[in-house]
Amino acid sequence: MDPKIKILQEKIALAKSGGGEKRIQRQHQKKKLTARERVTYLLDEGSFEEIGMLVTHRTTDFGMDNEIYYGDGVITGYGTINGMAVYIFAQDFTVFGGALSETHAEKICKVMDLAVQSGIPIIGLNDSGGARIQEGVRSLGGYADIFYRNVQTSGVIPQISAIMGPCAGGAVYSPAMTDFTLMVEDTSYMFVTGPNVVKTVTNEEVSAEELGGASTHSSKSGVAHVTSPNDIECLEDIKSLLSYLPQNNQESPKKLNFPLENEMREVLSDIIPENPNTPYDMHEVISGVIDEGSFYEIHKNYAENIIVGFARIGGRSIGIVANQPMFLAGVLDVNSSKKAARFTRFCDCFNIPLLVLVDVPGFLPGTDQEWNGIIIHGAKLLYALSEATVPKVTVITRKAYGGAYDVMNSKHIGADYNFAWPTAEIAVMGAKGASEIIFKKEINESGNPTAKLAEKEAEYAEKFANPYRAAQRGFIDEIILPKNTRRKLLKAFSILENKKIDLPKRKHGNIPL
Amino acid sequence: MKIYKAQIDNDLEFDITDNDIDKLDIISIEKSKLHILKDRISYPAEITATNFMNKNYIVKVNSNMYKVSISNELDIQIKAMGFALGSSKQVNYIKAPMPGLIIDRKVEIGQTVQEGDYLLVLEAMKMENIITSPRDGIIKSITASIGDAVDKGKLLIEFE
Repeated sequence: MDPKIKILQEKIALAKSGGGEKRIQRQHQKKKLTARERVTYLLDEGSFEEIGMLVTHRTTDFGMDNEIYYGDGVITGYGTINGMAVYIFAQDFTVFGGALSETHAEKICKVMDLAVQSGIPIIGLNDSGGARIQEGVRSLGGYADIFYRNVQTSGVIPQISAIMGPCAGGAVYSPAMTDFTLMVEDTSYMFVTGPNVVKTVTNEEVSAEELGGASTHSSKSGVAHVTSPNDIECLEDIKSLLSYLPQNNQESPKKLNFPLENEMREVLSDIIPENPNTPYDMHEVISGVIDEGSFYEIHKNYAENIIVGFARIGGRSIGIVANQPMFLAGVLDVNSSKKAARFTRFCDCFNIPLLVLVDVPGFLPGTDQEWNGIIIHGAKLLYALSEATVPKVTVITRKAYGGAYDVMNSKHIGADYNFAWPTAEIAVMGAKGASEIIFKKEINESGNPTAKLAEKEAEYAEKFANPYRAAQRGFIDEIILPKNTRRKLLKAFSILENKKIDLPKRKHGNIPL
Repeated sequence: MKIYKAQIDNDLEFDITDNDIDKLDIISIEKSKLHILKDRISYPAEITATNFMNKNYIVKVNSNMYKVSISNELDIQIKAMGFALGSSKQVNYIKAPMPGLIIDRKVEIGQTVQEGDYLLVLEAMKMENIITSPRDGIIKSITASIGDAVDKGKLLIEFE
């Protein structure tokens, strides 16, 4: 064989072996696939093209010049997922624990630049111990170069991060600025400062899993959008998520072929219980209106009083925001407002139409909420839905009370079609509270105040706890039978396909952060 | 050189490399029908069913049907690590999903329950939330009684 070709083949073999057989075994023992295995699994077979396989670091301090690995701890390149082009970087824990060096960062920046210039989504598989300490400030600079690109890229191409190992210190801010963060249970964690520092500074004893594991971030902090039980589930979750998204903000998501048949859904007729104090599962309404099995839920275990996620309706990708009466009666509070607002803004960035399903008794009262700024956080959702120019359709299934009615994609804030079921109650407040105020004098002066209140309550409920007042004013376009909902939505999203709104020029709005 | 593992009808298993495949004399006769020459013997073969995702195929050779599954090195590694799709964690505890008041309880310690069975009712925000069993199992302990006000995350029921 030509010796020159032999040299090349040796180098390629060396690069592909990462940090060596021993470290690969250790990675497998920790129930983690190697970076190369992950890339192979995620991308369509044979589609991966690697960029910068032979890059090495330039550090000479602390004997680092004797420890050189091709690729420098990150695999970068492009390929396809279900035929859709993506750029990808995967940190290789077997090389310096995936620690980020100046050259490692340069490789990541290179694919980020290429991705944004061609309008192709970027996926990052994170598995890194942090900055490469031997390099000092140069590795910090590397992080900041990535952060800056995350921000410049935000809203131009979808950015997806999977945390498949440690992600600590400054490293956490890159995933935090991407659109979606997925975490693998038990093998991944994210925190700004680890348990050791926490102990020295605050004397608080906490395990890595409890401080920043997948379950913590999916239920308590909301940092993780999706969690998966193992590496391959996580990679499959990335594939499914991508299927709902367009390549960039100039395109719309791919519409799948969907032959329409009988689109009546009788199951929807029996969902709303007779007793208004009995909750029901809004997931049933969702599955009754979307294409079967197409719901991909985001933030499943965080702020469960609101449901957000992607679905398809007639093969068309949509984003769903829905109150969940099963959880805290579906009230809006700080966390649910933030959750829904961020999701809404993502959909608006990437031309994904919005469906809002409403059953909301109002905002959660109390000092806890007020002191934590429900005013400003509730405003986020109001702002995000008002700002969104994608097709917006609302269905009120039961309650829509008070300010929450306005917030939940009402006609007034730019919804295109507002439907209500005959069970809808659209009013400024509940019948009891309202009659206590309106008929205060009358009730107090009557011989039997309790009976009088009940009478007035019934009178108010009959007048206002229904969708007809709103329909009279045109705030509701149509009152529909539940079983017809899917048909109506199919038509609405179809007629809205080419909706266009030109906004006045401005640098950017000032969402209440 | 790439190595694949082939499994036939869930019993016969052998390794095959891409060199082995190159050595075969294969001609495609029509869509999914092949003619194979190996050691001067000719075999007509037809791929009758394909599952690309799981790399399973049903192949007809000389009128015999064989179920073939092919795995590459990564598939073998994934299998060795015990990863599987559709796996999820077993739930052993039921904790209060939100703050509220326990107003009803339908189960006792030691009772066998099935997924979806009615366990407790937690009233929160004037709503009567029915808490159902996330899985089949036996109730090991119950730490909430009717009338208890519970905080979010309080342990209510433990499974065996």
